Amino acid sequence: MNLWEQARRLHDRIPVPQALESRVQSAFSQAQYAEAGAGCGAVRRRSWARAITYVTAGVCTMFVLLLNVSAPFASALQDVPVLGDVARVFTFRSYEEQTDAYALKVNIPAIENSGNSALEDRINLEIRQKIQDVVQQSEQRAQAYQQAYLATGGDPDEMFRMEIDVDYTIKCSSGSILSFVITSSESQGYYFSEQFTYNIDLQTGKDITLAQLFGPQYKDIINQSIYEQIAKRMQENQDYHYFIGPDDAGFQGIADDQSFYINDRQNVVIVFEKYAIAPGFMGIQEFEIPTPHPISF
Amino acid sequence: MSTSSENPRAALTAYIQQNQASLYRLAFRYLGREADALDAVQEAIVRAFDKLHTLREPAYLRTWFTRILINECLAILRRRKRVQPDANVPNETLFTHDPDQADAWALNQAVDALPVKYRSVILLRYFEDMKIEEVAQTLHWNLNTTKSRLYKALALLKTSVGKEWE
Repeated sequence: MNLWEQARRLHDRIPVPQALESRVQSAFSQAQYAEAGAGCGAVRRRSWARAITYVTAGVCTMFVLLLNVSAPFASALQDVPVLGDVARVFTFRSYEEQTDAYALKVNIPAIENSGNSALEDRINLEIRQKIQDVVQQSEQRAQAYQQAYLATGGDPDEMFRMEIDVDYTIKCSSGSILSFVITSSESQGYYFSEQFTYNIDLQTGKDITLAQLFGPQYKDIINQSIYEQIAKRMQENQDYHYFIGPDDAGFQGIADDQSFYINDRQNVVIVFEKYAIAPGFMGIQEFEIPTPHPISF
Repeated sequence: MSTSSENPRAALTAYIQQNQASLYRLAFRYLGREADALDAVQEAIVRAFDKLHTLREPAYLRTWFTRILINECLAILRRRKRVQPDANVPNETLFTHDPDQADAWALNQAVDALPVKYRSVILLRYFEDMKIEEVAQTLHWNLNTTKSRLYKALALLKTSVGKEWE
């Protein structure tokens, strides 16, 4: 083997990171964004994370149409069957970014095949804006931390970057109910996460509310169940302690905009962020509330 | 799959998916850092779709895309120079150092130390297996210029490596 061939062998052994695949997919998505926006003059690609800023509802509609119509694009985005009748949540875009201050990993979900493009436009735009806001805030905190760290003479090689992670979980996807949760987390010594819940009635294209599921007395019904479950948990676990009542500045009943999702048993699960109604070591607190079945609105 | 003349976007998508590993490695030879090489590949892909209308012949897809990728790498190198003027040596070790491969390793190191103009000709000719005409096409040089830069590059490498090869 001559020297060039040997050198070539070494070249071919350059390790290819796992991240390459998702970067390529992100690029494909971004390229389609740009094409969809070309007619509207809406999108100017500068960097992937900032591309979201320029999205308008019109571009979203065009993009969704492109996706459902054109086979190669859809399969470039994800390895799932291209045509399907079932409404579903899928990963619209997935990207990573690394700087000195943070390591970012984002999976952005979107809804498709619901048969209701106004619904999809609304929700998908809302999701993208929410994620953009949340990521931006995390990045700012990461950069502020880095500046403070360096300003106080910290060694850049010793600094721990912030890890920012945005991902989603589908909680229920059956019949006319679509329920999923986007979790955004920051980790840098401490760990901080936020949940954003989405509960959609596919027939009407509207968000599902607790009042619809439990009737006008929904707060009383749900609060009672929560108090019962709290009592039971404290009984079963001596370390547990909940912040209840006005003195503790804790739980006094669910909020008007209470976060919840619907699980695959079609029961409502009320979600409280870490620290909201209990000490941090108890993490996120969830309460499954038996929900009248079959669910009808 | 439809032929590339019917659907250039599909052809470009397929080309990238099939060749993404070697495209990454080429970018890595310019940039020496995983993060930068990933950026280069991603940016090049988006740019390519943006400029797809400039691809005249589907047969030129490979050289056309390679050029876009190389330009992206050069842009990153220029940006890097502005931020870190002294850093022209890549941070990460490019190859595992196997004593039996010492000469091949030295050759690779020498290639990576070449001025970008000469590095490009060598990478395309010997690592991307392009014919000299394809190298000329990729870099937008005329054939004679390409040949003379190739010979100059080989002469520089011989000086650095100090050995005979084919």
